[in-house]
Amino acid sequence: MKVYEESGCFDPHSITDCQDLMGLPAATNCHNSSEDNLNLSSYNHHHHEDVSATMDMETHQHYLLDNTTTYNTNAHLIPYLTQELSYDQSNWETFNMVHSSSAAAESAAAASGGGGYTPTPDLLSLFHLPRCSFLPNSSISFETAPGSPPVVYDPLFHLNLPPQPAVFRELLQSLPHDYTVPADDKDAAGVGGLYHDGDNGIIEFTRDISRAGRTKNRDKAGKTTKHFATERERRVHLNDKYQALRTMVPSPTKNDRASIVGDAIDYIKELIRTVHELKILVDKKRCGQDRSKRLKVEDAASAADAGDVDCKPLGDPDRCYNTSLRSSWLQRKSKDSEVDVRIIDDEVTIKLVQRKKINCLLFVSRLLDELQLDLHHVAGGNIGDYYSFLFNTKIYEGSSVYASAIANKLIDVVDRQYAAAPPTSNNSL
Amino acid sequence: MNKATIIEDAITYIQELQKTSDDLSEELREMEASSEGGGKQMEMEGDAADEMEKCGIKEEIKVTYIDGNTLLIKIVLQKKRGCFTKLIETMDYLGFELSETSVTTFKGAMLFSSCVHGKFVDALMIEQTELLLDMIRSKEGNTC
Repeated sequence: MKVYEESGCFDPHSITDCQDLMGLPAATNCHNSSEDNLNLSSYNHHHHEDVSATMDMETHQHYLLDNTTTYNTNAHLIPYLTQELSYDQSNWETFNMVHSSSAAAESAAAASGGGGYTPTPDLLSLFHLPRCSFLPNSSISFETAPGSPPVVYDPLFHLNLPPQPAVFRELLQSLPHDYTVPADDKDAAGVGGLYHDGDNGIIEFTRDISRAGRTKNRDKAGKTTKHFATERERRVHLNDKYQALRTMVPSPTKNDRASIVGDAIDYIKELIRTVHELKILVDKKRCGQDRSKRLKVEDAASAADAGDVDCKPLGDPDRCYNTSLRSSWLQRKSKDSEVDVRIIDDEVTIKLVQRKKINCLLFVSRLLDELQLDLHHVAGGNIGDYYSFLFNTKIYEGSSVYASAIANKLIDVVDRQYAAAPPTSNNSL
Repeated sequence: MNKATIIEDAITYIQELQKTSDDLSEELREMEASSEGGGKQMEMEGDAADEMEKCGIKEEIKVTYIDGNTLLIKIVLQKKRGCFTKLIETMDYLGFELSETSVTTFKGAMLFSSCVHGKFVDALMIEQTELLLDMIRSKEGNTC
């Protein structure tokens, strides 16, 4: 994990590129960024957390450069950069990596407005950066579009500076931890790692900051005012999307994000199975219809014209032979009952669990007749508060009933009976 | 790919799949409506009766009084389309609650055995098992 590397040499040309790339709205950003940098413990970025972090390092650096006069007075607090730079570098101290105290931050924040301030030592001490040749009055405007990928141009990349991973790790760990990063690793695992794109020096922070941040205690003291509104909006939007996803799933379980995603995954798989099954059925049906039409035509033709029967090639019926095995499985749950329907080829296995209130066997068997299912085996009984039934049936030939129809109708019938039945006392039998 | 886009993509994909499945089922329904029904039912039932005769399975009904309100009923019937429904209807009519049920079909015959609770168990003594069988048969006869 290295973004900033200590340099012994320094290439001024790259810095001008850097200036172009990283445009910071000087007016608004300066003040706020200093606050940001100073209030490490209260940092809060999300998508552009990585970028902002680095950018704020830059801006802070820039800001520091802006305040050379203050530097001179408070120089002892500002880390040493490089010797080549013309700035005053006396009295750098290295501080420990602990978060700055809020007092220091506040005083720093207060002072920044006034122009004389004591910047937080922690972050700065981690900067062993070559000072860019930013002119004190140059303004770098930087725009991060919300949701933009966390890409940072490292001006020093091509200098092949020796890495300082330890420092950087500490830097990351000292960064604010109040990122709403994915709580589960599977989201982070996919795009982990900080890597260099060898071609153009683009370095992409992905989840490393989040991972590093997660290990420490989260400090949620306050958010930067600059990002508060968009941050909250973003969260609200994301929550709305989760809820929207939940409403699309037929039997949602719990209301937490992991369950929502899990249910969505199961539902998508079920939909894919259903679509596959329906396609097979439609093909079979179409094939059957074609065949019967063809037979009719042939009959008509042969009736009309006794001798001439060679109009149709005889291989047609065989072409429709569908080799794929129809299979399908889905479950439906409601408050009092649970239905599980599995279909392999023409055999349908139905499991039904219903709360022991009324005997649904009658209605279920009526429905099975309606659906043209031939009962081969039934097993049912009481289990505590519930009735549990297993039906092994076969689909009568020619019927194209499909799994979701069965399940939906079944759960419908059962629920309707429940609603219709008068509420009985617990043990009337 | 961040969280928000993943969730959005999931929502879109689910909607797509739902639409596809609805379209396909609609198409299937239309095809069902326009196609002719199968005339294979009668063949199957005719076969069932023949098979039963071949294996020597006879229709019978057996009722055993177990305890209190409980009966054990065993019925062998010729399997016809919807006979199970008739059976259950009869049970319901007699006010029986089926607590354990098992149905098996073999060679055109259906074996139904069930542990039954009922209020009027005393009334249905073993002699009346024939009555029960007749009831079931008559119900079948009405609809066939």
